[in-house]
Amino acid sequence: MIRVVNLKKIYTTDEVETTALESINLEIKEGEFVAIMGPSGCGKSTLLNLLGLLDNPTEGEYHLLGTEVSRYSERKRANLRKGSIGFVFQSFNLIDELTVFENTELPLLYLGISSSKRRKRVEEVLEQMQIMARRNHFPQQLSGGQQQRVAVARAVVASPRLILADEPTGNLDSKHGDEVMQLLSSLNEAGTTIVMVTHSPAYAEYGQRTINLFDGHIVTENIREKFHL
Amino acid sequence: MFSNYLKVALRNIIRQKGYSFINVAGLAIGMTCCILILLWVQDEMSYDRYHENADRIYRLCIDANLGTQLRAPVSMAPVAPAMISEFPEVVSAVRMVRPERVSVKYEDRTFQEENVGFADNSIFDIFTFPFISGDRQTALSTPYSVVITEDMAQKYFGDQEPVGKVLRLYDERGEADFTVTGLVKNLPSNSNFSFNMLRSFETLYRADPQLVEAWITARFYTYLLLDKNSHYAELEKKFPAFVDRHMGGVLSAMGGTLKLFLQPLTKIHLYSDFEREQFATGDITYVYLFSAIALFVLLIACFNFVNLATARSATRAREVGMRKTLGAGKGKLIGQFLGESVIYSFISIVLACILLELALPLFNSLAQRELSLNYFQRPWLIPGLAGLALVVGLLAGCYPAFFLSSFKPVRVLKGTWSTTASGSAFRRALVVAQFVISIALIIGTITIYNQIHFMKNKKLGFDKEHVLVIPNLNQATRESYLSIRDELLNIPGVMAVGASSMMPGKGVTKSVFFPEGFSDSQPQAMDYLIVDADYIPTMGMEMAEGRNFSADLPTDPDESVIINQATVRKFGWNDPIGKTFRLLSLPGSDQEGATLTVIGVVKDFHMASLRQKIEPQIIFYDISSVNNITVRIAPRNITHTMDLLKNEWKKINPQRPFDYFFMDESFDSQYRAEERLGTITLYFSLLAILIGCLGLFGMSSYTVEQRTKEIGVRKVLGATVTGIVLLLSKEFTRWVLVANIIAWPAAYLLVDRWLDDFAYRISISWTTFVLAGFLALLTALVAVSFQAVKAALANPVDSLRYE
Repeated sequence: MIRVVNLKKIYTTDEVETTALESINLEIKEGEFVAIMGPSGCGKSTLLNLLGLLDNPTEGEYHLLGTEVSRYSERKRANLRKGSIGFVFQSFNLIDELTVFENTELPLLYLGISSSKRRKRVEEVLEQMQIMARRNHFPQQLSGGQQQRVAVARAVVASPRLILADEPTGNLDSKHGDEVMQLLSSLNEAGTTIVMVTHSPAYAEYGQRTINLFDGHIVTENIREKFHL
Repeated sequence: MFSNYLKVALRNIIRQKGYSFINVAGLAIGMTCCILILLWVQDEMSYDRYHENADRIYRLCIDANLGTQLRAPVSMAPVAPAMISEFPEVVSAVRMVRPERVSVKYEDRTFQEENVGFADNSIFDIFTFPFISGDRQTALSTPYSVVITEDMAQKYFGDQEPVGKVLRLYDERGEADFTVTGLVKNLPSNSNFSFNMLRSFETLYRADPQLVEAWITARFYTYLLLDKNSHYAELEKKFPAFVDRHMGGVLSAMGGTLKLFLQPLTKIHLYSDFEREQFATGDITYVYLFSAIALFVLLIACFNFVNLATARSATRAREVGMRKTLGAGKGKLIGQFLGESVIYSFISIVLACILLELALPLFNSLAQRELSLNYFQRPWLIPGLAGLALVVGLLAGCYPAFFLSSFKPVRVLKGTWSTTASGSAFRRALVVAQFVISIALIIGTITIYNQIHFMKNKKLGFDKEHVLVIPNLNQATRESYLSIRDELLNIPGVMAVGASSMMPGKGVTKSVFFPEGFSDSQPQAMDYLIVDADYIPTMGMEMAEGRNFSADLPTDPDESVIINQATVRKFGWNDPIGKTFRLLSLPGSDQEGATLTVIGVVKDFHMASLRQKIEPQIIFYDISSVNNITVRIAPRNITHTMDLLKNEWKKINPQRPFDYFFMDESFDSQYRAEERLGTITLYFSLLAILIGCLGLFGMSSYTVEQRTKEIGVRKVLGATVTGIVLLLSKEFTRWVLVANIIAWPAAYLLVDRWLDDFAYRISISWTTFVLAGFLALLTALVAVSFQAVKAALANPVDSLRYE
């Protein structure tokens, strides 16, 4: 599903050039659950942004679903993003002015899906995330765990084949963190590919494979055979 | 999708109450100003266009050179009939005289009426004055007939039919009964042309056939109705031959030249700038000036919107990032934000319409108009307002929309992003621009008020305070003037009494003279004034040389004249006493060709407003030609003196109503246009500043928000509250100072041009500029310091906890 060859990302500001990623080679198969770990500033989020088409690499190839996309324009990336990639962030990034239902509905709006179909699908997902009772609440009225469940609902509502999660449990206590991990895990079981950045070794074990990054390089890959349920 | 945008926009407006209030209030006030001024401009542009033939009506004007240049919209009475018979393209023509102030009596009630004119009956063929009753074909074709407006009919006859009723009119020619022959609708307010009553031109002819037949007396206002297929420029080409045919002899004898030309009716109100205008006109400069002010006030409001929207972009950044992550393109986001600003704009215009209803009465009384938001009579109004809202929304929204939609999701979604630097240069430029406009408006307002103050207080060469004028003397009063004067002087409180043909501030009369050293072919046009021996002292005028007329010297009326210093300067005389003037003709006197000797020079005095230079003036002594009595009264017990005067007048002249005005009020009324300009500019500058301050208040609250951490750290390190307030105010202060540097030269050029219209003007003082700058700075500091003090007083622990 994802094949990355010799990926390099350099950030340039006025005077300083920072190499965030260097010689990244990576393959992720359809249906995999991959955790990315590493100390702060090692390039985890940069890698996730590149995989999520939020940014273009400086060098290297990125094949997503068999297509080379590393030189795509913003417009093309946006088109590819919607519908095929779902995002979950550490800080939830829900839109404050929209209710739970409306936040979840947003990806479907941008896909141009009809109102009745949207309603049906959103309700289905909210039901699945056990947040249906809160459908008319605004994000500020929810707990952190509930907010992240809405964020996950929003990420999966368009049934993307890939979900990218950037420290989804970083702002949550362990109880809510566990809940979110359970959700991701069950999504993966249902066939969605998941790439997750995390600081927590325990949560990383939910994945089948952990990639360790250090100073922009992949240092180790641990492959696990068993699933955590 | 649209409903999603709408939801977000409305919820944002509700959630961010302060911010929304500032935006909506600013835009609404800006729009109110703009619509008010646009209504006024539209009204100015619509003048006289209600006549069905408006585009075919022209006013005949002369450009004469008889010693001095005279360009005026007047012509000679025989010109109109001659043109009809000689030029096929002239379909019709009407002659009028300058409207007069007349006493009108019906049964036992008497009123003073302004705007009572004379006109040929053809006026109703040329202009559109709908008749309610009477025959428009003949209404003004017989002598002593009068056509009145609805208001007049109501005033004199109530609900009775006015046609056939008889009114007694008292004017300077005497008194006569006039039969009402027509009732017309009230004239629209956008009419340069106005009358309350129109008497038949035949009446004038009956009274003075010579005057009406004279090819030399240019005092009639003539309007021509041209044929549909003719062009006025073509007609004008035939005028030189026409002048030659009819007036060539007189002109060559006098060595003068005279040109006739036409002025389109629809250009009169805004573009006419003649001496001896028939009615007060507007000025296209003010239309431009006010339009510019309207645009500026609206721009200030738009700048606020832009500033606030970009300043608080941090609060929207996450939403932008998330929407982009979910696949929204830049175009969709631009559409969303533009839509939001248009929503703001539409809310504002609804508010503006409410504000307009409240502001219109005030504005109407300031601008002397009857403007209204009549949605039904003006079908373009609602689409026009919606168009304005759309334009303002797009204008105010486009920069924030492009700015916000350009955020990179990678950067904004991490939550580490700050907006301190982004868009700040642009915002700063906008705030500076707002202050440039405000400061220029303040400078303009102060200058206008200074000039008005200067004009009202400048020494005029006479003392205008406590002077009462009784105008429109009739023949009987003139004949018994000396005994009337003595009766008036007996009243306690009356200090002096004089008489004259004209009064300062009420126009001038011109004629041609032959001063010593000028031949028959070098006539000199000069203003002239006819007085009695007491007029000069009564007015408080002073002699520079020689003596005043004396009632004891019987030769003075026939042999002596007094001139002003401007005359002495004009002819370059070192020793003016003893110089002579030969007359061509003196209206109201038959002293054809007499020679008079200068016996005195009066110090220059202002006969006209301070807009005009003091012109050479020649003063004659002739009691039989005076029209006004001037009474100087003691400053104390004015009411009592007035009562005594009224009683005395009733005894002297039981038939004639006691009509009077005060000289100072009448003279100062010449500056009404300037005063109006001053008040309107004052209000609009206040509003501009208010909107600007609303914006600054909002901006400073965001700046303070952004610098919360800095303030906390500084306080922990020992900064005082004063220090923090200064720190936060410093930036805004700098902007205002920069704005001053830009505003000063621009405002200087503008006010200097405005002042150039006045022959007597103030010099522009640097204190005006400093004061304007200081006022702007003060208001800015008040707006900013509110937030700054709040931030400085806050506990640093609170602001640092979030780090």
